[in-house]
Amino acid sequence: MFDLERALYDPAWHELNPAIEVRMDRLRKKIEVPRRLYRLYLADLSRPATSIQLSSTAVQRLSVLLLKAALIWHDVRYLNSALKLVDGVLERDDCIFEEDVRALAISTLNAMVPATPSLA
Amino acid sequence: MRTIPLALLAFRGGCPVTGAYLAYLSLHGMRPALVLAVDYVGEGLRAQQLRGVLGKALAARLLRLRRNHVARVPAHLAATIQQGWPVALTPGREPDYETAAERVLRLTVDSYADPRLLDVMRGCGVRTFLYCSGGRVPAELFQQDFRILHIHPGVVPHVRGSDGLLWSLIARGRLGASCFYMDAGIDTGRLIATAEYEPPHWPGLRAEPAALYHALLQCYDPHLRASLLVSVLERMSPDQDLANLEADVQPHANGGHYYTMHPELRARVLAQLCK
Repeated sequence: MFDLERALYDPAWHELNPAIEVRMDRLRKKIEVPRRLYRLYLADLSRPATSIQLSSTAVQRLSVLLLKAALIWHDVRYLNSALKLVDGVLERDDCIFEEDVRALAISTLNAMVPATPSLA
Repeated sequence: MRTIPLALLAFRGGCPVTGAYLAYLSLHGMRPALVLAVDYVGEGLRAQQLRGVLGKALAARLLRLRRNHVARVPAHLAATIQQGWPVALTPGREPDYETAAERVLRLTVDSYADPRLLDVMRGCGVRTFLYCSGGRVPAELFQQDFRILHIHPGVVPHVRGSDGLLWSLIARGRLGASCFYMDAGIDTGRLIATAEYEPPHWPGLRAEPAALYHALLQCYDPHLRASLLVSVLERMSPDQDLANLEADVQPHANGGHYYTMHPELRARVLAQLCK
């Protein structure tokens, strides 16, 4: 069993070592495709092991972790998933993002893909 | 006109790629042995509701007209972004299949999973299909004695999944396309050929990001795919079997798939093409 809620509070996860990368990639898929995040998963993250959703605070921690992963691994895909989380892709009324998380997402976007003048 | 032993599996309505394949084949003196022109309802709730009211055939026809309408691109935008390509595509206008192919079979189904589709593919006499749409194909179609080719807008294994055209610009700094035999995975099949292209630039082009994105999908991406198709076919010897082309297992690459690009990220990538 993999306790995602607990993992997101584990300092080892925030070091983003290579072992974490595989799990982060699977979490990315859960954000992008089923658009649901649960507290518990099977050990290989293939399926949820509970119907209890990840807490709102943990979702915000995951967003920050995705942004950090995008910068450290130079991989815009993690930024993409973080932007979607912040935009409310999970469609949860209880998941209100703090302003500093939103600001961090925009800063990361500006750093990785700088804005150019408007097209329109 | 040389007939290629290939069947285009064309899901009608709003699909720009079939027209590009046919136009490029014709330009190079080729035509497919068959176009399997499939009208389909689709699995969406509204499509199914329409089917319940109108029946399969009429619902599929109406949905095709709607998909073609949605596919349209303003003429000035289509002309601008297609400058330099040897043919001009008109999104939303279906090709004349009878002129462009040796034979045409028409079929109306509920979805890819409709058993009638499999029956027709088994019995049509062609062993190699070119899949001209997006989305996932039922695994059952890969357990047959025919093979299905696909051309994906990105170089695999590096750029698999959705929005390959735009992700290629970020991941590799260039556009790309890959031709492979489809399997049950997403863009994981045995690889026949890849190509990369310099990114286009339209300095000063002014368009809403959503409109430019739509235009790229409708009348830029299909040129890349059709160019690669013609390149693969022109390299074949006359007696070579399309169902048994030299094809390699894709090399291992870290990462995983790309998913739909976030609109803000997409707008920034598109803006870079217009600066």
